[in-house]
Amino acid sequence: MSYTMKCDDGDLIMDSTGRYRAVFGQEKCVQDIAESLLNNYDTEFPMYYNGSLLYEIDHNPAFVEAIGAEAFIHAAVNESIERLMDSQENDEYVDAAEKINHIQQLMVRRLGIMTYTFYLLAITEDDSDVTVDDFVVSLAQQLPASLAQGYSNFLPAGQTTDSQPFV
Amino acid sequence: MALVPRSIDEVLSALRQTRSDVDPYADSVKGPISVLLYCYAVGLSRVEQHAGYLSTVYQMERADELARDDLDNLGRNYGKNPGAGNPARVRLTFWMQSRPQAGKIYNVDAGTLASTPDGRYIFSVIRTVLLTGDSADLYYNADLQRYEISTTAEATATGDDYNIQAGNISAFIGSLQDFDGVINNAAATNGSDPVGPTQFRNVIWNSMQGLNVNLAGNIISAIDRVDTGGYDDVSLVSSTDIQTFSRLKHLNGKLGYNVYLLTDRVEDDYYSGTAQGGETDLYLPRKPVNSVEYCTVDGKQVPFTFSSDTTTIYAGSTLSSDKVLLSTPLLPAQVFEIHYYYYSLIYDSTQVLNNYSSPFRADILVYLGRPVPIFIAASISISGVQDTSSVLSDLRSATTAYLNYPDAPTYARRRFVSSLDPYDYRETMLRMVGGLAKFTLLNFFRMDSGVMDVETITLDGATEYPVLSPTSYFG
Repeated sequence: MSYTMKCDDGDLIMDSTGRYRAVFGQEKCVQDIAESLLNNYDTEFPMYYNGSLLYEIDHNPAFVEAIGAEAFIHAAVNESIERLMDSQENDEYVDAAEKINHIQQLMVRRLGIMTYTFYLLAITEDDSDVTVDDFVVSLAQQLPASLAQGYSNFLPAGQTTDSQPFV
Repeated sequence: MALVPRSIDEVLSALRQTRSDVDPYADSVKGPISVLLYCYAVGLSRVEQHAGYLSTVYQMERADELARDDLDNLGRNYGKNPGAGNPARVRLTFWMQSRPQAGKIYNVDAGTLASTPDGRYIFSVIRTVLLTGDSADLYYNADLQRYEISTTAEATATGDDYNIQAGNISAFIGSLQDFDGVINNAAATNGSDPVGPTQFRNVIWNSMQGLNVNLAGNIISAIDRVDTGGYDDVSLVSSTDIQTFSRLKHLNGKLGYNVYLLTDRVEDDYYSGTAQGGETDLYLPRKPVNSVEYCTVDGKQVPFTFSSDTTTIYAGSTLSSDKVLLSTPLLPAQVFEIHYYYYSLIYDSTQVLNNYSSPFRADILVYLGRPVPIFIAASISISGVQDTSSVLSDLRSATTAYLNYPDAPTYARRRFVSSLDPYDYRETMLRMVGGLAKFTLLNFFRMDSGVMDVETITLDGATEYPVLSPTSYFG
């Protein structure tokens, strides 16, 4: 059984005795999925990058429209989850309640001009369901997803190459 | 044990390993624990990098990796000032087209500014000179049909980029009444940048050898105090080295050192006096002399010959007999003035070294390193796409750099060299000069004692350094 500390709303959670709460099993799987979607990091070196893979997108919204934002988001979520699965594969202490077996369903839907949402259903090794619903992706946000990686041709959606990206 | 600073990734790996050794069930690859470990790793790695840097500062081995401020502060701890470099000096000639009026005196005052045409490199006159209209003919330059007077000017800032080529200083800053123009007939010299990091590090090292100038290393330290970075290379020959030491008979068994410097530091000086009558040889007071600018008798320039001491054992030192030879003997009460340049570092450091008093004081004399002209001739062919003249120019520069320092050819600093290998020279040229398709060495020997066309050249590594003979040719 592998465990980690419980994170909620971006912070660690303490119990009534003042100790950090631990999570494991299916609850840890949910937390890891959320983290994988929010943070574009690879478990192999080079290490950890802030920002989500969902915002690693060419700066031209028209380009996104042309290739289809749905396809892009679908691929990004899929890649994030597969990375997590790779990571679990390398960890001998991950148990069946936590380990993702496969992605059952992944649907992306358009909400507004630059806003999308997706529904994800993953199945763990012990046949439990793990779902992500109403995860809103706004491509107009200026999150510097991949700037930290030094991909100069990648800028957050909505920016031009002339403007100074914030870091 | 030397510390090898780790990267963030390396520190993170170690932290993860420790974490999983302590508790293998805690997930340290992803999640909040991984985030915390990453934060520690960033901080620890930064501390290690800094500790590694402090180790570099402490050892001073790789001086060019140190921040300049740190190196300078380190030097100040040992009483060494990094120095700001030297301003270049140049001889400026001010001229007017029309004949100076009789009875009028024309001044070029100290502080008068002249510059290159773009106004970038500015020089300031440091010695006021007067052109007297009554003796206008003295100043007449028949070749250019104008009236000229020369004086010395100094660059307004330090740096070797102020060593301007002849003819390039031709503009006034502001206006100078009566004069029509200015020109430098010779290149500006002696400008230098602040001393480089490696060189300054050596100065610090030398300073730790103490202040007793009777010991070999301390002599160098004393010279460094005179002018930090004023020389390219230094070597010492002690009186125990009876093969090389030139003044053995003059010391009566006392310990002595000959110090040889490769230096370009020159200063100018004016030597004037009143003749007793009959003098033709005027021995200059500050030696060794680099060149003589002019000689005047009763205010008028007279023809002279500069005789540099090349024969005695004191040639190139402050005891050399450098002199000006006049073609006409001086008459009683005639006033003469000589403007000349002398090697200031040799002169000044001799003064400093001789000022130390000690009952067991060594007899120290500072010399200028002896240049040995090397004759090189080579037949080359150039690959088709290259410009012939630029390859030849590169080859000449690279050859000069090689002779300066064969082990690591550099254009900037010369070294004392004990041998030159023609095979190594050829290999180095093929490596350094782009566009050389074929390089056949025809001549490679020292001009004073060479016996074969191409030979391994041997020099006295303590006193001699090679220079490229101007008659060398490549083609």
